[in-house]
Amino acid sequence: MPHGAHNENRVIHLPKEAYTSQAWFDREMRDIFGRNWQFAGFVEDLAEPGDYLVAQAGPYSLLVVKGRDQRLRAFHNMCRHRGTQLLRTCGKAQKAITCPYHDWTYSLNGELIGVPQHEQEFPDLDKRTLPLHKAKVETWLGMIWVHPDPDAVALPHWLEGVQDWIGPHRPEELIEYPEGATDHTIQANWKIVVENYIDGYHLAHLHSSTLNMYDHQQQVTGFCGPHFYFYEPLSETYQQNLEKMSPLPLIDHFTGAHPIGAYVPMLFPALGIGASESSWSIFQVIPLAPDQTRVITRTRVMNLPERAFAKQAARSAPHYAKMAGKYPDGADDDPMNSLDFMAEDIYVCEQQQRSLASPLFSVGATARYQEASVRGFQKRVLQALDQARTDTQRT
Amino acid sequence: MDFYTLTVSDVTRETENTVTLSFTLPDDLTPYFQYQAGQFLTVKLSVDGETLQRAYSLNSSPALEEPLQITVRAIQDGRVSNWINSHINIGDQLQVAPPSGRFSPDIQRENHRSYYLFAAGSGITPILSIAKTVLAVEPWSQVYLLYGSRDENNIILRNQVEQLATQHPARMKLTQTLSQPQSKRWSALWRDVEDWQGETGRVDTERVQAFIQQHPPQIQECHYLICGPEAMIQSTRTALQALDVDPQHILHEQFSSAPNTNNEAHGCISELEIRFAGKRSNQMTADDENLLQTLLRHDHPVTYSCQSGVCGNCRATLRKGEVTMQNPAALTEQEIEQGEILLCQAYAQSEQLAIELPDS
Repeated sequence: MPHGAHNENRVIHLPKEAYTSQAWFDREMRDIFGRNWQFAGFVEDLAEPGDYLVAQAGPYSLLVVKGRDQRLRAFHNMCRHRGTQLLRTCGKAQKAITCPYHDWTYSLNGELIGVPQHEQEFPDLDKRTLPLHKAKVETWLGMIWVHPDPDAVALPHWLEGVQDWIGPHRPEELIEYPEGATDHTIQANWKIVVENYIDGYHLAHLHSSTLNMYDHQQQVTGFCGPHFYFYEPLSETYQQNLEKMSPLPLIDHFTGAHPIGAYVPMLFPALGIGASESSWSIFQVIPLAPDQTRVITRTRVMNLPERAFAKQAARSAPHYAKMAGKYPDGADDDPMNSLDFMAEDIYVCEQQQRSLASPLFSVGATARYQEASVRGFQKRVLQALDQARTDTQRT
Repeated sequence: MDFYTLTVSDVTRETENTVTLSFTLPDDLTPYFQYQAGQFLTVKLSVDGETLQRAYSLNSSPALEEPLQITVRAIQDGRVSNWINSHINIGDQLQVAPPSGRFSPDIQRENHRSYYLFAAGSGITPILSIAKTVLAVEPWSQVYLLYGSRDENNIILRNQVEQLATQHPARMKLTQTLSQPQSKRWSALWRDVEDWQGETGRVDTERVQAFIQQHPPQIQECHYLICGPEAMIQSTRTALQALDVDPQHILHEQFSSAPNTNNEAHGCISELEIRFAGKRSNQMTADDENLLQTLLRHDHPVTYSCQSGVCGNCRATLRKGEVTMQNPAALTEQEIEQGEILLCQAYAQSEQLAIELPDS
């Protein structure tokens, strides 16, 4: 391990097992993902009473359901009878939630309201004693957030100060852009994916062909509590030719205090936001296994008629026709020739995970400024694990 | 209950039959008049030689630098409210007891809540106090207010309510409705009446449900507060319960009921044992009086205020015997099951009774 690095600032905080071992993974699930707020979706995903979605928070499966009072409620997605998962992914419950196993039924408020053969099989059972376990749900900027603990700290507390760093975008006024939705399973540890997302050093190199519309040398980064923030302005050429180079209609939410550019925070532990001149996206990192991570992206754009998008695409097309990939001589299916920065990122994350198998693997050095984010993130992972240990010991 | 002399520092006519009074509070009385949004003052005065006392909600906010302010609507047969509306002047002195009442959500900076507020008529008074206080104290909370009045000339505290919504466009949503807007009447055709832009109709079950549907909560911890006449409270509660709102999150206060003055025989003659501060005493009730009247007739110390079942100041616990209550609006069903009673509403129904008064 690179603990021998001479400069304290450049010490990498996490050991190699943190990226490979099941024990580390399990601990992170329990002590980080099971103890913090998680993004779960957008408010319009649950438009009508009875609509629900399911979210994983570490070891907990949670469900969020909209009630007739228009309120969202979160519960642990687990039948109180024998623990079966009640709901899958997302959908529309009728007036109640029924377990597939023995048809125990709960109201949208989580009360147990139906037990088949109740009097005969459970003569002493008082249904009031077995409601669904409560969890916590809150909304922010049109996003739904969940926490497994019904008494968790309020979401604005958890995100205190973040508002000043994530850009002036008002995502609740933007509309979803279905073409911008992606869902990938990446063969790499979730922290490799997060570290790649916040690494300011690779932008000018890995993405030299794909993210050259920003001025990476002007990046401003830091941490606000556990959360990472990042801003960089547009490149000079792009700024000057914005009207004809932007692939999408421009967002008009920018102010003097929050100028146009790319705001790319990573809310701890694993929700990236990419807020740019023309789009606002979430980058949701979901750990699946020590070496496997799912990444979901969803994008929002200005609420304009279809033809505004067609017009802007046509206008900017000549510029993009001239673009060439990082490895222009590579095969057509080479991610490094894809002109897709997401494919480029996935490629390097998976390559790095593979290298972890080599006994020779080590991080030789990290950049003083543009990789301070990576060190800062690792430190916060360790802090979160330590905090969980302290809290557990106290109780 | 202790009364203090306060001076009326301002009188504002809100509508033809509603007036807002401000009080100056001498420094030495400040500690006694600390209050929570939603509470009321009890005013004692003499009308035609008879001493009467009534409860009026504060519309001022304890979180803002405002004088104590109550709004009084003259109600039919309301001797005190009519007297105040027709006689009170700046500089007058009134006997006022410190704030009390339970129509108060626990407003704290840390809260992150959606408050759904439903007001009709003079029920806006405590609701306005609550809305102002939430917006001042809880930076993360939202306020949704549905406010019903009879017509354009009877929108009590209209300026304050509309101003508050204008000051907090992102955090307060206001819908006003009139049951009989003047601008929709035939006579408006030849009179110069400004067209009513809000909704038309009462605050009833349908409107409450539509309001919530139009304004889904941005924050998922929801609290519901209702203040108005009995029918409005009932229909709002019915609407909320049909939407599966947990009754624990609904708080209401009934308004506009005149004190019960008909002295028909509601009760029976009964031997009443009064347990108070570790002592017991016995008195006889008359068949035409409620238990509060019995205690007052015998000069027994007792805390009370509105005498109409609304304020909850004269709560006691029934230890033996039976009573009937006419309008125990300040008690929950659960409290009634547990034997809580309101003295001003309770009439003896058994020959022996025992009540326990709370330590004040």
